[in-house]
Amino acid sequence: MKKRKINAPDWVLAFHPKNWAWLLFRLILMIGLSYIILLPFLKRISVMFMSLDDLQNPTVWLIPQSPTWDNVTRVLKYGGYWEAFTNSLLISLSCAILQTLVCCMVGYGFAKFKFRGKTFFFLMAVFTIVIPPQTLYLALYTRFRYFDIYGLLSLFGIGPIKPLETVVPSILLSLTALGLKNGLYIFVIRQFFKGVPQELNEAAWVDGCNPIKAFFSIMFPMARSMLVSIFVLSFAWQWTDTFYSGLFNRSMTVLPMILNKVTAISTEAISNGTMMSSVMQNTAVVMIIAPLFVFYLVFQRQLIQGIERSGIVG
Amino acid sequence: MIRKAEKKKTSLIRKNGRYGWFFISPFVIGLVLLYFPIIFNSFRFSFNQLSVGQDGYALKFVGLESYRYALFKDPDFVRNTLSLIGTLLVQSPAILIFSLFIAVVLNQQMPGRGIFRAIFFLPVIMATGVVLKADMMNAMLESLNGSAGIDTGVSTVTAGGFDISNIQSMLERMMIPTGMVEYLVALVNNIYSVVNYAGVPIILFLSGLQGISPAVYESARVEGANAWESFWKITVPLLSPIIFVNAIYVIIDGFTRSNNPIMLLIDDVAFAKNNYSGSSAMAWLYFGVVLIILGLVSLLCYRFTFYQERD
Repeated sequence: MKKRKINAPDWVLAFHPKNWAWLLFRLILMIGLSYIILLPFLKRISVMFMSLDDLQNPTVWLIPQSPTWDNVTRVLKYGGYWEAFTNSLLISLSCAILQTLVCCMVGYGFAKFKFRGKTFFFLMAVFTIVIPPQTLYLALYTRFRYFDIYGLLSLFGIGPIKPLETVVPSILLSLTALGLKNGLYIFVIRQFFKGVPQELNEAAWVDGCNPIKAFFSIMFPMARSMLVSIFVLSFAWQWTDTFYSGLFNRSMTVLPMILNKVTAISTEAISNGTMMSSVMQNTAVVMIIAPLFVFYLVFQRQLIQGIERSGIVG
Repeated sequence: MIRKAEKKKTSLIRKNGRYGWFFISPFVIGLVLLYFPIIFNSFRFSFNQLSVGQDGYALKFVGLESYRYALFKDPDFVRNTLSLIGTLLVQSPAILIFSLFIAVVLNQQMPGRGIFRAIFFLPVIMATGVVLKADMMNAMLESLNGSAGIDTGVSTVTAGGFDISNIQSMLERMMIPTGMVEYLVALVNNIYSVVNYAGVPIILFLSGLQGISPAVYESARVEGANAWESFWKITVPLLSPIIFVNAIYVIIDGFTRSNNPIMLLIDDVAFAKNNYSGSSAMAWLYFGVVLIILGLVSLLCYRFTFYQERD
């Protein structure tokens, strides 16, 4: 008998009676779990457009009866949304770019070179992942409030600098791979480069290319998909971060901080305090993560593929 | 000739070793100039009374006083730490099993696979930092005023949404051990957190699954193994290094998440009660606990991890 050639995509085969029950089970499971993840987001969006009447009306569910832009305009007006947006964009973008580059270098150094003291510093990198950031909160604060390097700066008469109200602390931490979750990025990138055959490096070195040049012209482009993932994660986590933004940018408003601002204003100025401040907080949150959602949609495929191919094997 | 080339290569590797320092130099500089002083200071604060002034801060040595405060005087610290460990003990294995299961399911062909994958990863990007904080503030407002805040759906998808006490009593009547039933109930109550924290583990498991060659499964099937057997005899051993990494990830993630009760307590003691040294002491005690637990888990996992090639 002549063999039948099948041109249909694989998932059509899954509808074969033998498989359909399993497929149905999987689909139901996936849809159910997706519902758990997505419902809170949908609810948030719907509450954002609800007026007080809608909120107090128990028959309204998910679809507002009298939709309104009031909440959004209040956040725009009282929260200083656009200013915070610009600041956030500036900080997150610069931090994400710096962190990706620096962590890539450091990860490569840990993966591909043999030198004394490597193990110690790698353990230190792991240590920065494990230590809860709150442990260092106060020390970070005092460190950057009265900034000096072992008393050297005041020795040369520059005097204690106070960089706390600027972007300097975030940039400094990014430049030295000590920013938010940077230990994790170093770990992942090291893992990626460990999977790259050492022969590739050696070939370049034997041919007289020095390691720095070899890194930038061969290894760096090779790690591109991985680096996109790191960049996206770094950007997103920086964008919603409340820890460092509360610590460093007290006068320069970034997006996560408009949450507090909006809460304070709504409890003061607008009657029906509790519910209103919840509504304002919620609106602020949706408006903070909305740009991030667009960003995720654009990069989603590359992000997930980059991590999938990172070759993390323990 | 070949020997010579080989020799040249090894000496090159040795010579290029010092370039390693160049590549990790940003991190080393940061450690020495920024991180070590910060760590040292944080440690010092836990032994001293700290008072912040306009142009600096003053320290007064108090010895182990703040550790005593954290362990014996503060009503919440020990209790919250223990209950957090309990929660994570329930949650972490569940997250691991759940994410492995989801990864296996997602690894098979099905319509909408890419969309589901994107949805599962969504919380990693979106449900962090400020979103968690808002959830918390909302819950706080509710409990403070005794009135309902707004419904953001979080409570709908956790226990409040559906009643499981019937199922619980049914399971108990089926002679299933009470401990197990309680574990299952705790899991169902926590399904929202489990799903939300599983994003990264799912992706890592997926990457591991795609690294297993189909030929292995093929030959197992020829030898007569069914899907169940090949899952336990092929998938699990080959994935065990990733299970290890994920276990560590899940534990660290759980312990350092900004919305966990200890983090809030540490913040609260420092800024609401102005007890900076007490808060530093708590933070270090907590770090010690985390380190011990990580050590135990690593030891345990390492024994059961199968490496195809150890280096």
